[in-house]
Amino acid sequence: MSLAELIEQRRFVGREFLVWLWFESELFEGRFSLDALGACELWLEGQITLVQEKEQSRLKGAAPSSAPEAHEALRQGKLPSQARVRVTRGELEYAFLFNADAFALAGVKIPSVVKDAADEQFYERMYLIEELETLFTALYGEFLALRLSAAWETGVAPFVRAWVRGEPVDVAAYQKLRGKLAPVRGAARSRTTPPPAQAPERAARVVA
Amino acid sequence: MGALKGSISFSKFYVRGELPDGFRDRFAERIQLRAFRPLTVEEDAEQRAGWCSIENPLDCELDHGKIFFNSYLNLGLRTDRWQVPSALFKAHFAEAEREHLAKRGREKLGRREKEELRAVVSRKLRAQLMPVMKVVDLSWNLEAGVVRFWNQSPRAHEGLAELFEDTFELDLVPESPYTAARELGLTSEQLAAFEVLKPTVFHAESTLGGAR
Repeated sequence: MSLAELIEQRRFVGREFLVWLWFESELFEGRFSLDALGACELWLEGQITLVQEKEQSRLKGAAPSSAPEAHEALRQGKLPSQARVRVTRGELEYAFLFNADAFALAGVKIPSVVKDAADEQFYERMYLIEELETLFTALYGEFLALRLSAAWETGVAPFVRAWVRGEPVDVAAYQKLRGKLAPVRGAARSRTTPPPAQAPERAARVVA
Repeated sequence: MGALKGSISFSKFYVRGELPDGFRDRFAERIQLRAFRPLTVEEDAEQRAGWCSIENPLDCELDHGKIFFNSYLNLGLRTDRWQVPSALFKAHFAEAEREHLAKRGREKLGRREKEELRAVVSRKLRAQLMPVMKVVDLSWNLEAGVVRFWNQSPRAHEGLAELFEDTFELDLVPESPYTAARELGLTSEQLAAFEVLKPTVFHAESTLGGAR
């Protein structure tokens, strides 16, 4: 299969990732523990769109993913194609719209930028964006460790299905299963933009 | 919105291929050759795209200092387009047609005459208008091989891919669940498993997993 075909035909994995984020954020009250990056909090808020072929449910509100309509849409076989996500790690707090099919972030709210000069603002913005991407990618790595394991269909998916049906989930048994599966190896790869305080001076400009 | 300020919505691409030796000089030269050139009234082109400074879209004289921000290569992708309002064009064309026919004492224009008159009217109206300018920021992390492009429309991506590949002789691979997974450094077993994944049915009935 060509790269273009793999990109197009595996877009559904983004929706499954969003289901898993939703499932875990409800199961653990927003608390995630990342193997390489430590603890973070994540929850869906503001808006969520669930789709199945041409049918679409678009829900808005303070916590639409908690609304009965959202869970009912899941039970009907719809999957989230995009959702607004809030994530915090330490003192950093972000919010963004995640497009699951494209694996793209839009309307990203980053922690306040404190630098004044345009150059410095750029480095600070890129540092914060790359921090967010590192964190979100690490979450994706955690999901993929489950999704690509032999235990997915018979071990993990049944917990998610129970949650979709609105049944209580055996949290201890799920955590035990999670603990056995290591995240994929590159999940904590480091970003390349240094923190603003360490950013090197940009080379002097050539005056035309 | 953009890389330097404003709201943050971007599409991410991975750059495929190695940076050539002495790439900064080479890139600066190739960028300048593809820098934006303004549209003129006399030419037929409807639109034109090219690179501009990320800090000032009117600045198309691009040297190292305007392009390289430490390990980033930053540019604006500027596209100018003549956008003559359709109603305005129709009204002016009808007037020109009437005058043309009256001068020659005829009732109808030939096909070729019509085309020529369209071009004359277009030029006349363009001389009174400014092209519509659109600028999208591009920021390329040269060390990570990642390009962020501050526009999420597939049409804009096509324009970017064309100009980027022509300028840098490197390919762009769009972000997606598959490419994001590949960048994580999956083992060969995991990659093979990803490539044959089938969608999970979450709403299926099951007796496993729930608390008993």
